[in-house]
Amino acid sequence: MAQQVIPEPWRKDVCAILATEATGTLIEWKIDAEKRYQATPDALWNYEVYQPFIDFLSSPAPTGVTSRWIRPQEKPMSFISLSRGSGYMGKFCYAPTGNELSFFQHTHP
Amino acid sequence: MKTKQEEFEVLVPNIDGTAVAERVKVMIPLRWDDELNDWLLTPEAHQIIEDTKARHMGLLLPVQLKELRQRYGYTQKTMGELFQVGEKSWTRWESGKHRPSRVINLLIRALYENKVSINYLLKRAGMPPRTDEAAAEKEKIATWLLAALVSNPFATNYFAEGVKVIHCHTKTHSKSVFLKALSNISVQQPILARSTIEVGVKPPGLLSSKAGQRFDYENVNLLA
Repeated sequence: MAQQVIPEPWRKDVCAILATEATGTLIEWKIDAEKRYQATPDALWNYEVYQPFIDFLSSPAPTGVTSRWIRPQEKPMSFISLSRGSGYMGKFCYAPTGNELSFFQHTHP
Repeated sequence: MKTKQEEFEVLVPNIDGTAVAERVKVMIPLRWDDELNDWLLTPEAHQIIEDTKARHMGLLLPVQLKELRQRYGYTQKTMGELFQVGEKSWTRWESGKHRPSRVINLLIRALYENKVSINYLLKRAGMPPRTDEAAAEKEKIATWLLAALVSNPFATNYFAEGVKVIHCHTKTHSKSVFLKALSNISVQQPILARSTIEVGVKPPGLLSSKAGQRFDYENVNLLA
């Protein structure tokens, strides 16, 4: 899929949720994501990945790709991929209609 | 909501984080998400994983950090100042939102296990010393003094329960040493708390004393 600039409203909302560092409540991890994160060199605590993603999303015109991995009844979903030093990739699903819905998945690229 | 307990392997990293030092199996609660069609970690699951990791890395747990702070009756702001990390850091550590680094944890653990004096840290942070620490120091001196008096073969000591005056004299310690120690005795010292101590130093050359003989005494009233 082609890279596209991630829409600013989406970035703003996701950054606000990431900034809460509310692991397990506002920011949900799939068990597979947790296992992959633990297996990543230098990865220690979950909250450590949030700031690099915030930094990325706050940069001028960050790009990502739209995901096909969506919740059925929710429309505006996104998938972004980005790297952090050792090459992390983040998948986020976020529906602006729900204020608590942010889903984060961490995987190796 | 559909939930289940599942075994999860926590990977504990080595000191420099380059490899896995230990694998620890724990049970964690998961909840099912119908829309995502997958299992998600609950907040409790995250806490179990992180606490397990922290414990095996030798890090103090949030509850221990709180216990340490409460031991001294400090605010989170004061703890931040004490370790020179800022209030926010300490608050995050105590809430479990963040974890202290291994380096700062060494220092915190040293205080937690009484391997380093709180007054030392206060001094390094430019903060005033604690008076209860000073009292603890006095306690140590008082203990030493009592032990010295009791074990000193040249001393004649009269310790009796309920007796408020303790007579002792010795030639092996100078009067100034005793007076210095006595002036530091805390009223918390149970034996001495309500006692008056009389210290006598034998004149040079006099190796024995007659019962009841008293010379060159000084009285120290501990309640004064």
